[in-house]
Amino acid sequence: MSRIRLTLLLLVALASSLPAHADSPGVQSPALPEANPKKAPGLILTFLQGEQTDSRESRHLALHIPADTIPSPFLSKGPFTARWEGFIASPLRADHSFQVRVRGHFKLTLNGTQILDTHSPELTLGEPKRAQLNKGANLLVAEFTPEPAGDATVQLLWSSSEFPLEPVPSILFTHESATPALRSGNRLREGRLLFAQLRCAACHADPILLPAPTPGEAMPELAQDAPVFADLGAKFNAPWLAHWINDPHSTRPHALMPRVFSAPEGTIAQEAADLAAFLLSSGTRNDQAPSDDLAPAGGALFANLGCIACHTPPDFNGNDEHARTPLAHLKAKWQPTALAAFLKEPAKNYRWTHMPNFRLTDEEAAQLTSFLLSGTQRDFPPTPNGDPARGAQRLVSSGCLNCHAGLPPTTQPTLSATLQSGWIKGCMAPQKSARGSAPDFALTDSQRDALRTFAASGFESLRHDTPAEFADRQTKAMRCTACHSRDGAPSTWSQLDDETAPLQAAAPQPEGEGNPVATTALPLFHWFGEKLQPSWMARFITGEPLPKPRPWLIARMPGFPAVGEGIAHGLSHSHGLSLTSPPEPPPAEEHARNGATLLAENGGFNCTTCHGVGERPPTAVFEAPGINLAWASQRLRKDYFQRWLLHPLRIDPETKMPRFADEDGRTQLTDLYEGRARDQFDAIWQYLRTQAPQPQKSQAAQ
Amino acid sequence: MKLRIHTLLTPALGLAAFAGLAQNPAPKKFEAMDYGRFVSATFNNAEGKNTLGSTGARKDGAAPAKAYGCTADKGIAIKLENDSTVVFDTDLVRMAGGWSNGFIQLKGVVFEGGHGPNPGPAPGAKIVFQTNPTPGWSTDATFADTRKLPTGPGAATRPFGPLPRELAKYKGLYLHGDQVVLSYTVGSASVLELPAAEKIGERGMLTRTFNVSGKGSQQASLLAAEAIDGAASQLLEDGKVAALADDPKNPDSRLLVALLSAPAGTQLDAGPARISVKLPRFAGGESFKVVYGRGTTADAAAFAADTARLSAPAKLAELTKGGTPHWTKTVTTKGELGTESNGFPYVVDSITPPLENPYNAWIRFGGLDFFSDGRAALSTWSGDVWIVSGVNGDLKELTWKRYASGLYQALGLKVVDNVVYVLGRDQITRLHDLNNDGEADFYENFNNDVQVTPGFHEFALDLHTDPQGNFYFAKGGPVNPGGRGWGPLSDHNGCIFKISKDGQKFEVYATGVRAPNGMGVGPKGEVTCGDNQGTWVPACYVHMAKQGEFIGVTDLAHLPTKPTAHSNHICYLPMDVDNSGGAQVWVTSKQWGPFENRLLHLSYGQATANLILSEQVGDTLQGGAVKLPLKFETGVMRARFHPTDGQLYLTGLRGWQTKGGKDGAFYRVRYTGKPVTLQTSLRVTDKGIHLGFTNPVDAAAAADLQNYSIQQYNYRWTEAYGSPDFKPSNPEEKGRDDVEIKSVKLSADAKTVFLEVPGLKPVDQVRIKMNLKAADGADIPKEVVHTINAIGKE
Repeated sequence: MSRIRLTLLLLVALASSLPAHADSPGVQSPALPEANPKKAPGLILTFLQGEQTDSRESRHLALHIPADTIPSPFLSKGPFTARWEGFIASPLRADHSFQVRVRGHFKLTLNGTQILDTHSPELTLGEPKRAQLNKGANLLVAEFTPEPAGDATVQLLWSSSEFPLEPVPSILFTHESATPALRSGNRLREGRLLFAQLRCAACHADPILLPAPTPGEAMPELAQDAPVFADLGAKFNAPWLAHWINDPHSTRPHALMPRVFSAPEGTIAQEAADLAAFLLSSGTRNDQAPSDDLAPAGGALFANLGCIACHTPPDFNGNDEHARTPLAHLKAKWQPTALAAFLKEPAKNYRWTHMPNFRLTDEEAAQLTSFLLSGTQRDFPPTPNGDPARGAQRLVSSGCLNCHAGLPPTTQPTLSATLQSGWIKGCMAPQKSARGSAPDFALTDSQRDALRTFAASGFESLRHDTPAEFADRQTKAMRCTACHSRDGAPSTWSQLDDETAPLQAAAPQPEGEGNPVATTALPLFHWFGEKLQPSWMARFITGEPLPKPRPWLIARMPGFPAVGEGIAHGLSHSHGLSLTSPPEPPPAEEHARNGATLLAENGGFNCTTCHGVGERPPTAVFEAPGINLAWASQRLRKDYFQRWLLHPLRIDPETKMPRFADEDGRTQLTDLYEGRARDQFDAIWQYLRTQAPQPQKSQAAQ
Repeated sequence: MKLRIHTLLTPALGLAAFAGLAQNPAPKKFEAMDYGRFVSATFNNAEGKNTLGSTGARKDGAAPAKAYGCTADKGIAIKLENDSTVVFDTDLVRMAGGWSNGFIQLKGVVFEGGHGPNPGPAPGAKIVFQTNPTPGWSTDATFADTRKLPTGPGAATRPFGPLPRELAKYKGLYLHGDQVVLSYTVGSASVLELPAAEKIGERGMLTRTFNVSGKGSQQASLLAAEAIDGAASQLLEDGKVAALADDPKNPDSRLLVALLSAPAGTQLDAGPARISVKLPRFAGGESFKVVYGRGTTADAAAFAADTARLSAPAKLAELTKGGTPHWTKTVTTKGELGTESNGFPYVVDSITPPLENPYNAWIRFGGLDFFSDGRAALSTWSGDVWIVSGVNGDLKELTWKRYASGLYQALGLKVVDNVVYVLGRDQITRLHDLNNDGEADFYENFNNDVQVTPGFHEFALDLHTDPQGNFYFAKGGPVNPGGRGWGPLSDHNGCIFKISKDGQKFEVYATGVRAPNGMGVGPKGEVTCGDNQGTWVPACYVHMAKQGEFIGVTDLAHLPTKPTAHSNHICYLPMDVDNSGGAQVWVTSKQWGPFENRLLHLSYGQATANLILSEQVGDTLQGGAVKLPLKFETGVMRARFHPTDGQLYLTGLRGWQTKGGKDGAFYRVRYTGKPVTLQTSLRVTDKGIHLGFTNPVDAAAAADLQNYSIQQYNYRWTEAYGSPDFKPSNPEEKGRDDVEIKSVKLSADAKTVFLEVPGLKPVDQVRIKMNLKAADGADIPKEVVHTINAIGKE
């Protein structure tokens, strides 16, 4: 969080002289359009606070709100009630036992019958209550009122004769997406995010409407930066840059960068050419390109690292059903050396870039560069000659530096002024004629409605955020599900076999023992918040050089330095879990020794056949290597570890991990703990705690 | 200078002293085991090389450029006096090598579990002599290998399997005390050979005593020793001693070979890099010794003299009648009777195995059958056969006797006419107790036509007979260490074999199986097999195999071109039902409830038994499985019905991944005689699914649509390890489709449920879940899994 905080502090400093918040004048929230009833994944979560309500989707029937924080960006600190509504699916009529882990008061109603009514002033796992679910959708309503002070925590769990106690899987929840309150909440959130991401406040700073937030509390996206103009002449090519400045959305449909200069269709504005000429006047061109021979290996990396999940291949020029970012402009855009450098360090000049850091080697970067600059790509015709001097003036006068260098706004009206008309003019005008000289963000009508809805609600919500909502926004923005399947929806990557196969075939990887494999079967996203220790998860998503948990995969988890920590924290909260696990006493020696036995061959489950422990490699990996277990106690939450061992297939239907415990919670190893699986798995956990390595940073000359 | 961040793995709490992992102070079971007088295995040489590196068929008889001495695809390492060892190659009827200073290095999957290595000479062994993988006998003194090369994609570049029978044929071995007598034919003559380590003064010698009976069809040469190409050999002492400079590291060192009591006209031949013994055409009655020692050329005279001082060749026929018992101590255990659970009238009784025994034999059962008197014979993965008596009634006193040992991973066993046939990777061995002392004295090679490569994973699995007495077993593919791809292939990898009743005819019955840990042969000769998820096996399955059929693994099809389609299986089994299959067994008993003539399938991985529900739709067989609510503590993988009590007996082991916790276990599944309500039939039509039960089910629950759900999905048949689930509604999308059940009807006798599902189509996997009770209140299994290959008419 430290980097985010630092950036926020800068933002605070910029606005520190501004007076307090006031409502936005003149803007009306447009009426909600009609919507057809439709079932969607997850539940409707509505917060009630006095007369205020706020609804959003919630994949889980769980939440964790730390003490003295807000439940929603649109509400205040203080007492609230959370209410979940929707349906829970059952394949057939079946009995389940429901339990809630709660601090506060929780009620659960299924099909109109109250099942749970649990009140606990401390965080406690309540008593199980048996309930029968009907085949199909079962109406679910749950209500949670936290204690007056302290953390608000709730997590609904269940068990049955076929599986052990687990959080009720999110894949089973559905809700009615046409519910007006939900759509209102969603639209509000969309407008809020657009406002932050499009950096409206960078140009329209307003001392009244946009007062300085409390450090560390504001919506993090407000700190989102734009690429720094550094040595662009050593990176880009002139025609492309002029085209890009002229009309960003024609190159990248979802670009945040607005079209600033107008020009007749098919032509390049002279201002754009001037600006490009100026920007390219710094830096020395370097056209040294990696060998074309490296392209096949780069293509294989493109397929095997998952680039292909977020980008169409560079020679693709068409409509993509997965909304991937096109790359057909790369040859026109980049000088080769600069592209390789960018691939190695994408966030160097743009911290909030969506492009993650794959920790590429020089060789890999060269291979990818060769591939990305290969093939037939989009042609960018010559542009008018630009005048660098005029371009320098445009840079200031057009407001580019409001975003790109973070300077105070100079030429634009305040936000209050722009709202006076009802926010229908300037950037918000749908027609070019009404837009005047304002930049064109290529907004849709729906996005404009969302922005107006948000504006009508005031801007107070920008001063606050919740980790859960941040994680929800950023997992979408970073396209986590492009690589990880979630709630039964396959990842984009896993649907691209037709594209990956020829790329892989062009540069086959060595096969056999010890060689990594190419696969799109990556860990399932929906369990991450419950599975991983938040501190580990944060380091892992951020991109710290931790040991690779699955070294047998060619794929590697890239780093998202700007958002990793926030995603990790938010996912934990979404699952109803705090960022810290209850402290455990040191492992009892006998218990841990039993764990060592249970882990090993003689008298144990023979886990060490597939799993290494620290520097001890697995004894005989066959087809299905396992994660090195030395990190387990630092990586995993203990409850998840238990649950995984009790019923691996319940968590991951594709896992090769055997299930050692039966429906009664017993294993076939009866010599220890009389075969009680939970006790045996706890012993293994305790043993693994003794094996947990401490990351030590040492420095070595390279 | 760039800086690099290192993350080191260091135990946080410094408690690495917990010893259970990799530092277990208890001796390893494979090290503690007394293997007996010989061990059968594939052998690497002293440098760890196996026979796969050989340069080919050697049709010219030349020595290879590299040394592969002491290697054997099918070897028998025989313990001799003076801590000496020889390895006999039963394929090539040759002595692969001999050494002093130790027995063998116990390396490989059956020993320490290693994937890839095979046993070889013990560390520190001093090689006395060795031969390369070439015929041990020759009619023209060339020792040319005329065996056919394997064919097809991925085939190895050298031959496998036994020599042509007319040249030489291994017949078996006799045990007499600590002595092992090898029996084989050379042409039309029969040969008994006794390897031994002898001493004259301080000189240690390895000797091979030969007794010949019957007339030879032509001249025969015996391969005595070989070295790499270029090694010099010479005759010394007027041809009485042959010397071979076979140790490049010690230029003066020589292998010395001499003969004792050789037939007139016998010549030692010192050819290029080889010493052989040219014998006259056998007349029968010859008895002689070939003697090996180490020294220099200067020692030749003394060596010849010491050879002459050796005892005369023994009469080996005396050693072929059985000797004193070797495994004299029996183990007595007491069985444990199980109890009924949740109203299911079958109980699991444990026939306590001799896990602790005086010989530290590692008890991991891989084969099972019964004698007509009710005693059981069980083979172990480590090469034993144990016979247990008392297998009846209350199991109060079970007496276990070690009957045989040293077999090559004995994972199949069949008793025919009260004689034990045991399947090793190298051969089917027929065990004879010649002197009725309770131990096998003659390990007869019933058939060893199967080809064996050094690949660690090409297990030979299960042994059955059909009503005509033909034998069947299955063999896996040589999966590479790590699991992906295959090692060089023989013509027999991934096949099911059929061997005639007399053992003389061996044929490939079907091809294309990966690691079929178990099969079955029904009362009408129905041949079934399963397979384990892996390359070209998207999920475990149960299959009815037809003669000449390709089943599923294209790399192991042994066809001119790789097949583009696999055969239909009776049913696939999802991972949580079976992730590692075992054998099938047909219920041949009337005393085991209402399941006579039904097929059961065992899951080694899940340690379960499943009843197979099958139906015939035209020419197509299909069906499903229902898991029997029984619990086993080991990976059950072999089963037979008892000849007298008619109950089901199962056995298995823990040798590779299974949820079973015990190394080896032996169970009886005993029917208590009460009514049992279980899914027993399945019929798929264009209107829906008929599910039959053995007894009436609770009508209210059964007629309620709410109590059923159906999901279906397909697998993808590829070379990848197994397959995810794919939606039939969108073949590119992972996942399962929910299937709508329009209605449910219960038959008047409450024994058949009809689930109305119009429009069913062939699909790999259907999972029907149900929440039912028997009419008498007993539990009923909650799921039937099945495969639809064809849709019948309603």
